[in-house]
Amino acid sequence: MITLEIDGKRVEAEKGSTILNAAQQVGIQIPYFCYHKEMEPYGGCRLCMVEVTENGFTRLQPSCAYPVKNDIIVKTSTERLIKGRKILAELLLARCPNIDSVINLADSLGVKKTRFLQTDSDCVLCGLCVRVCRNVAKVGAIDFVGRGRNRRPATPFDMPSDDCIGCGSCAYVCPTGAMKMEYENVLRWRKLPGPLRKCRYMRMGFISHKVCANDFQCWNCEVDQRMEDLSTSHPVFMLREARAKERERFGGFEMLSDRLYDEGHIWVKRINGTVRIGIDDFTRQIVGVINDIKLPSVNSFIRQGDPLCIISGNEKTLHMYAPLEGKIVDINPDIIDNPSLISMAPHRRGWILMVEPSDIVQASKELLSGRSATEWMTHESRKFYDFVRENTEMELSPERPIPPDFARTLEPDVWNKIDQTFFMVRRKRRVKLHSIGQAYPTPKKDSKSS
Amino acid sequence: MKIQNIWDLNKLEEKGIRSLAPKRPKISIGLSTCGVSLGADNIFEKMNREKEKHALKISIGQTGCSGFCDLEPMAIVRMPGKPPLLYTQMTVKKIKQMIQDIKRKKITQEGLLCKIGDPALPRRPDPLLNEIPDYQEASPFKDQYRLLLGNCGVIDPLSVSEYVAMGGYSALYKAFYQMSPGEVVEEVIRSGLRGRGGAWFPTGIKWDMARKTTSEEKFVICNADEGDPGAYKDRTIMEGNPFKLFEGIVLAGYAIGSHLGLIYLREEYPHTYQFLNKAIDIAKRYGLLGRNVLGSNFNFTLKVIRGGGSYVCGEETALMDSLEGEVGDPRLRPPFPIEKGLWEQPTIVNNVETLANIPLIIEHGGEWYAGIGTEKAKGTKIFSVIGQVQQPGLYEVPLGTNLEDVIFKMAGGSLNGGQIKAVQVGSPFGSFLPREKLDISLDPETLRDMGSMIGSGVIVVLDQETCLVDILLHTLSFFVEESCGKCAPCREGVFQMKEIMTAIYEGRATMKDLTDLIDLGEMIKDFALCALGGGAPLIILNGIKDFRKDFEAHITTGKCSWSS
Amino acid sequence: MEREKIKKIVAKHRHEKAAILAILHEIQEEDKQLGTESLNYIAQLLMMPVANVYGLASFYSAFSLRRKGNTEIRVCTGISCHIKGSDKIMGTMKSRLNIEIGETTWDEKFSLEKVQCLGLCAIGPNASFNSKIHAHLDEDRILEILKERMEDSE
Repeated sequence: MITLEIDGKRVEAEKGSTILNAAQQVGIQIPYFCYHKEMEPYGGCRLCMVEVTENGFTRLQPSCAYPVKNDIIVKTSTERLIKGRKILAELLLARCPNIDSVINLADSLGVKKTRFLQTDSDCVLCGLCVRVCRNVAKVGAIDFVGRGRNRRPATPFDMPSDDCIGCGSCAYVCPTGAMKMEYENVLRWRKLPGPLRKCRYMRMGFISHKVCANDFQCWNCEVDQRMEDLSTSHPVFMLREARAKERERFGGFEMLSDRLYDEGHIWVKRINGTVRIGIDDFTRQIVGVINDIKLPSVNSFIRQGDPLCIISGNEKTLHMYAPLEGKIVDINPDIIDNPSLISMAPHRRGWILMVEPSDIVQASKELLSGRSATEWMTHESRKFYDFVRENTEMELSPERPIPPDFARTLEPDVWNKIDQTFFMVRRKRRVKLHSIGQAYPTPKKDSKSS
Repeated sequence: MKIQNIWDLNKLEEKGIRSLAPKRPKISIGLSTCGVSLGADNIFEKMNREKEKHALKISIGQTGCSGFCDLEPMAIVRMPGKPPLLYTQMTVKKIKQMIQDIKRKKITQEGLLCKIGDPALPRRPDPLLNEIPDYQEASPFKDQYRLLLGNCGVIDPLSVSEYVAMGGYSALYKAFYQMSPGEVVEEVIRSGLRGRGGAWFPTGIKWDMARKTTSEEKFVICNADEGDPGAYKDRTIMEGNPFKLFEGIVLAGYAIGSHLGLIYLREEYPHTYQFLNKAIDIAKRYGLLGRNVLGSNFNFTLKVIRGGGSYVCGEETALMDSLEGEVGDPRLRPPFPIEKGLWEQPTIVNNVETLANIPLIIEHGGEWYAGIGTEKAKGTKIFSVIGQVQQPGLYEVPLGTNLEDVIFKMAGGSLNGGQIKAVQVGSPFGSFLPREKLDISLDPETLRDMGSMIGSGVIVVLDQETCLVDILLHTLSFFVEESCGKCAPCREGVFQMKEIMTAIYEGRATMKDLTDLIDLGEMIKDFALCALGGGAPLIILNGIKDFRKDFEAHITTGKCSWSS
Repeated sequence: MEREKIKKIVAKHRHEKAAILAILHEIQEEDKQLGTESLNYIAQLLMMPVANVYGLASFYSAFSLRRKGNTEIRVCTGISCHIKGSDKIMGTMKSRLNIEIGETTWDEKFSLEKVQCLGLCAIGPNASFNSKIHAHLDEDRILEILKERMEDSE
């Protein structure tokens, strides 16, 4: 717990919460427009500014975003703040003179009329609709268009968006009523044949399959009512927990939810009919900073189990094997120049090559994804730490990253064992199959053998 | 040829000296953006044609800009046994005459500005040469302290060897082979260098914090989004001496443990974009970027990324948004870029001028650098003096130099000999100083105490003929057009300020509007999200204080007495 | 713009979402506009929402959703050029081309824009015609340049 002072009161707040949260706890009201308790702070309306005194310096900070710290002194209603908020309210009133929520807010700050040039807008540009659509629903059907005074939230080209899933969260969070659900999309869906008439909860990703039997009149729908009862606010916010895990650690190694993994510690990402390939965090942590890489040439054809690349770092080398069959269409030019980039960000800027797979569907079936991938990684991690305990005198644990010079300290035979246990999965199989007389195993048979 | 060790570097240095003191006459033309827009490309082409036609025994090269664009196209003539001679405002005709003179081993007098003396270069005594002023004594270079700009406009910006001959890459070599990253950071801290982009944050402390983060992925961003109208120092450095900047960026990468550097270049410099890419290719060929830089085991990649034409993207957090392929909205802080910057990884963002200082600090030591400047602000600063002034251009002087000295002694005072009415230091945010307040020391602290800021060092000089209300309105319009629209004080407030200023300019306003302006300004200063919004009202607030007469004249008579 | 060309440009930037500005730059340079079709296709290739791409194209002043002229005239309005009379240059161009800032002539030969600063403050007023910058301008000089350009384009 963190103790701070707000308006002369000593307040205890949880670590990681904001000044606004702490103030609300003790009943101190701070006005705001762009804050929503279930979204990341935005800091756009500037109404929630407070005076923060920290290490002897006093500065104005947005309370919706500023984290609580021990022994800071916060003042929420000094003369400077009140005067500033009043002028801000006048400015908002000048922008939206006919919007009730703006008039009410101004009224609560003691502002009845504005001195400034008035326009007639119904949007205060708090950005809630754009943020909920993009960051919470993960749809991005609306975004800001233009800049400065001309900025406004809009669908692409101001046409009904194909991306819109009709969840209605934008209209739900809008504080001024500017954002309205477009019925054109609903009308379009009504024209669809039965099985394609997906329920909005199916579009949001809550339920795997539900066809609307109610002609998209959600207010008459029992399922809709039940789902809304489950959630204390708009149901879209229930998605946040499930989707927060874009990148997570399993057994101490980072994995991304949009990647497929191969048992030879290679990730694969599908991009428009091609796949991008790179090494995973496991390899990165074990090898350390990579300072050399050898690669096949562009346009060459690789089969599953063929050598894909040879990476070296910390005076050790490691062969990686191709997880699928196809033609190499591109190599990341940056890593040729600077192989260290692979170890910097193996999942993103340090990708290695792009392949046009012979059979992308089959290949993705063979790779690990979702639950199977995370379970596999957890298993590999356990195996690895057991291995280190047995074969070396080092004390490693999944809680801490592997030291950067780990590979350097290993004896060659230990390193070879690591190579064989964790990275030669694909090759082993091929050698085995090769020995029973099959020169080039088809991917299908390979998968059956596992 | 990749430079692997000190012998390679020495060999390159010899090659550079041969190219700087050539055996056959050499004419170098200034081919940076300003030179080209004044016809230098035409001269260059014609000369090459002439050379081919007559099989002349003259080599033709290029240089960058020295910071005095109105003296372009410049030419440097290097004749064997004589120091290089600097010529200004060349034309095709003048160059043809010059070639004739070179054949006759005569020194052309027309357009000759100075000689660039270097005692190390062999030369015979020549009575003629004594009459030509030296680089350091010739106006406009006189009284300057050109640490960063000294080589701009003198060496060939795309020649690594000439840069090495001028002492280049010795700092990087020293850092790689004699210093640990921590020692590099310490040296920078000792130098007292502060960010030149306008915030004046201590560079060494920023680096130290970034170095101590444990992330594998870190970024060095060079902010070349030189958006302040009137500033062109970064372009001059990039086009005049790009390898110095690269050396600084690699040093920064080495110091904080990053392998990737990004130069965010503003969209309005298309010529510079092509030029930097060319320079990066050359640096890669010499092994000064890419794998095993200078034969060490340090790898570094450098890329140039073009902006999209938005002033806010010069603000470091908006810049990172832009680099990620997003709309350039400033982010909230904390978290600061050194904790969570580009792609949520620790990132340092430094201005071009800041990074160009780094090789000097590493080469000569932090203590030497700390000896220049004032107590709190070390080193030199490039000031871009523009407006109604005799000799506009870039003046590099130690911090703490007197503003009057820069304007009157170096830049020659006002353009037509008229009275100076106001000077804006730190355009576009810095306030306009009236004539009687010019006797000040140019350093961030002095200007901050005056309620203004030094910014990125743009000095705009206005004479009695200019209407200040017009200039202030123009600057406000700039802020309104370039506001990103994220936060309400800047988006709505500065817009309303501009509306009031327009009313004042057109004579529709009353005295009450002045108080409205002040109210708005005070609020925006405190409440805005980023420095662009918070800085915007300063010129108005201070303008009303110092030039109330102009405002009142506009309000009462609808115009000021001097504007037609 | 043809889909094949867009595909090539996106592939050149290796389908990196971060390179979206560079991709938009290249398409703008070649096509003189960012059309609805192009933006939709870019979004599809980069697997990002169209609204996001549209937002970017409308935020940055380098991009235009409407077709620009073959010659893009950008008059510098930086403070130094303003002091030296860039308003007059802009006024001359407006009346001669009979368009406002941000517009394109009916024959799609010229479009007029303002630019905040070209970074050539010592030699203003300046204007750029595509990539070629002309310095030390006055009203007569810029009309002369425009005349040359008009003759060239015929």
